[in-house]
Amino acid sequence: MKKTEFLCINGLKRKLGQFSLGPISLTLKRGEYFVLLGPTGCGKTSFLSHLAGLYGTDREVIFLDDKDIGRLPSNKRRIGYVMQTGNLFPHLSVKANIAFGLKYLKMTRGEYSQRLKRFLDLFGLTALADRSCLTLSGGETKKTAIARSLIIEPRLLLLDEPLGMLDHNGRKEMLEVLKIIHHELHTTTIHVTHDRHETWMTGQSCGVMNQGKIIQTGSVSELFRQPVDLFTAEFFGGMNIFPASFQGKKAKLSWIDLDLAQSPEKKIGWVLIRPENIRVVNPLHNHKIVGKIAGVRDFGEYIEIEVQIDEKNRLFLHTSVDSAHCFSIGNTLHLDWARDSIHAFSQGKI
Amino acid sequence: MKKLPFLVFILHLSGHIILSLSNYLLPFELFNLLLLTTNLIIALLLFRGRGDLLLGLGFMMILAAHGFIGQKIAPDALTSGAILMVNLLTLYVGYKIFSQRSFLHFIPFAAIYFLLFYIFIVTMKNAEALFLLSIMGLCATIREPKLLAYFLALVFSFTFCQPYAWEAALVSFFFLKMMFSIRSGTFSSRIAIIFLGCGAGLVFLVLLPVLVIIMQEDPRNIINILKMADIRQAIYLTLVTATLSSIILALFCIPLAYAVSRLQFKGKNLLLSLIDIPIVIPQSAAGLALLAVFSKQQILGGALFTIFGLRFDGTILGICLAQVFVAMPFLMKSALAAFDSVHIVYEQASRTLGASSFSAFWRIALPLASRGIFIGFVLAWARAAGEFGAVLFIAPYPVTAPIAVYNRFTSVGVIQAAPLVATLLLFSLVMFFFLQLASRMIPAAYQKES
Repeated sequence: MKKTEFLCINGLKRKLGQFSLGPISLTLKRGEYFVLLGPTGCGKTSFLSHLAGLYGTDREVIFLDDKDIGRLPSNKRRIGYVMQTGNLFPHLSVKANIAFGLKYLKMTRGEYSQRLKRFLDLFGLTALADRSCLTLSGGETKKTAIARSLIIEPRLLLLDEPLGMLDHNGRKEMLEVLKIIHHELHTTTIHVTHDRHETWMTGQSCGVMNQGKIIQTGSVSELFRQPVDLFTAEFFGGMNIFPASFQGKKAKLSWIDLDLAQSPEKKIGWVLIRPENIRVVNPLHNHKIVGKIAGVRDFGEYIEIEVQIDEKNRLFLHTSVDSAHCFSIGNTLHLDWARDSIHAFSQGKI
Repeated sequence: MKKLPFLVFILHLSGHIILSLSNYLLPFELFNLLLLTTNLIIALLLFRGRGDLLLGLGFMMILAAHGFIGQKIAPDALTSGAILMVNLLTLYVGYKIFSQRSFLHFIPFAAIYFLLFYIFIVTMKNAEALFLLSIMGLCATIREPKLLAYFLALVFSFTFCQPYAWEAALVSFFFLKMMFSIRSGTFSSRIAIIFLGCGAGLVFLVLLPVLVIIMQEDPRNIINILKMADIRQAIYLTLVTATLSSIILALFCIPLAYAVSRLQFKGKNLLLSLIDIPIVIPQSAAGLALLAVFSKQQILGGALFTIFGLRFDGTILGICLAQVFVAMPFLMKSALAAFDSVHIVYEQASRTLGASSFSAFWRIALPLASRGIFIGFVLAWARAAGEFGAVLFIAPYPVTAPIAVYNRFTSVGVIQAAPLVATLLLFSLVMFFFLQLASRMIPAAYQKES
């Protein structure tokens, strides 16, 4: 095992009633901020609970800092786990909640109060320190829960939907807090979410999970632009996904033949054309296809145009808000795109 | 039209004078004078255009009726005058309800009036004074339904529950207060309110005997009882044994309840039903069963006696044994429910923060369940302190309070035992009240950790 790999999971497997988790293999570098994406019920929370040791122990599966922690009970693993609802201890104040884990670390009274003060300041919770945690808002609850997990200086931090159940401003604020904390403490973090927008805002690297398995890992742009299967492509909001058969560098779709930059490995698969890569061009110029506008939707930041190509197929394209007046339903559009912007993939390949 | 009241007045007055002259009414008697003056005042008011025609006529009718038959109802002028005044008041209030509200509001007024009339005049003979008082009460409270309900509760308590009138009134006041304080909040359900109303019977069943035995007793008797050394000894012994039993129970039941609540295992349901056994079997049978195992003559009891010197029959140890046996389900059930209500995520969270499994129990589950457990502890304590049947068999001596009552009852009878019973009841209620109060304070106490 190389030194750069801080967390290493080798084929983690678990059967939980009807649901089977894994096999999951994952490696993370020290200090990495990893976002794990997946739809509701795909096993994200079970995965985290398993890592935290709440489902009992397992040999030779989870290595943290070159040590097998799979056999350790959860209190010996030093993995901070912030659950979805925060789960603050309702009978304790904010301060007592945050200080809870400090009692299990050997430290002097001075260190104890110093560390507590540092974390209260870091999370901006000093003013709330003596409040009962039942009176906190959603964002404050989350912050307290994260502070409580981080104060014991865990080797790995697991965040289960840290931005869930917050309003728009709360999410922005929470995200800012997460960035500051990660910058300050460099704790290796796994951030689990079902919302793909969070990857844009946080992630250095991310992974996609479905039905108990991690399907693809990589940088955000990789997952976004080069998904390996239909699920990932659709999960990242891919709209123009068409079944195709490949022959060398050619892709044959039901409505067009396309040139590809590289030749795919398999004979059949899918083609993804990102809506923001499609351009509207002058009819006199070169164009790939002609279609009629079937719908125009204003999303504020951009406009989505639905173009009917033939009876069965529609293309979606995104364009800037300034040109909104040019598009009305029924108009004919001439469309073009670069060859590099087409991504071909085969389902089931990992 | 304006002349009509005047005409009526002239007619009335002339009738009055004619009757007076014909010796039917004595002209200068006090009562007659009163009738005449009232007539004059009303007529004057009507004549000046003030007041209400219908009301004035009604008043005059009543006055006339009294003029004719007033002296037959009550022999003396004072009573007649009082009846007259009350009748006028009733007419006035009835008319006000009739004219300002609707006929629907008038029906209950009339119904209650006739009910009171039936109770006081027809069923209870010669209760005119009470009738007049109650009618005045009715007139005063008819516009405040809650006040009226309290008033009627008082009247019925004193007419139907005669020996225990005050107690019945107290219980019904408590019940009415409860009903009137219902705030629907976010949930409003008429059937729920009706169900609560059906609880009246239960309230009476529980509260009335307790109140009767305490309130009927002369306080001096209670003090005398408390001065008796053997009674004080019995109460003291009850306190000590019940507390001891509850502590023993807590030491065993709380960990067991935690285990049963958190673990899944075969035979869990059987274990849960075993907990109910002490409730199901009669206490005397429980006492005998305990005696069959722990008495000095039996194998286990004998072994315990010879090896450890522990003797159960006729000792404090025996009393505690019986109390533990019967009180166990109360603590066990409460503790189980309390631990079940604490979601395991809190313990899981504490485990990831470094808490050992014992620490998670001690710092998280136990404090969060503490209130439910304490309520169970109080119930178990009360059950242990009140235990009679099982204790009687295994250790009738030293004497605990329930056995003291029984002994006194068998030796001197129910009348003589009453002061002791009242004392014990009062004592238990005070203890129970304070323990319940303490259980309410528990969550607040745990906020201050760290």
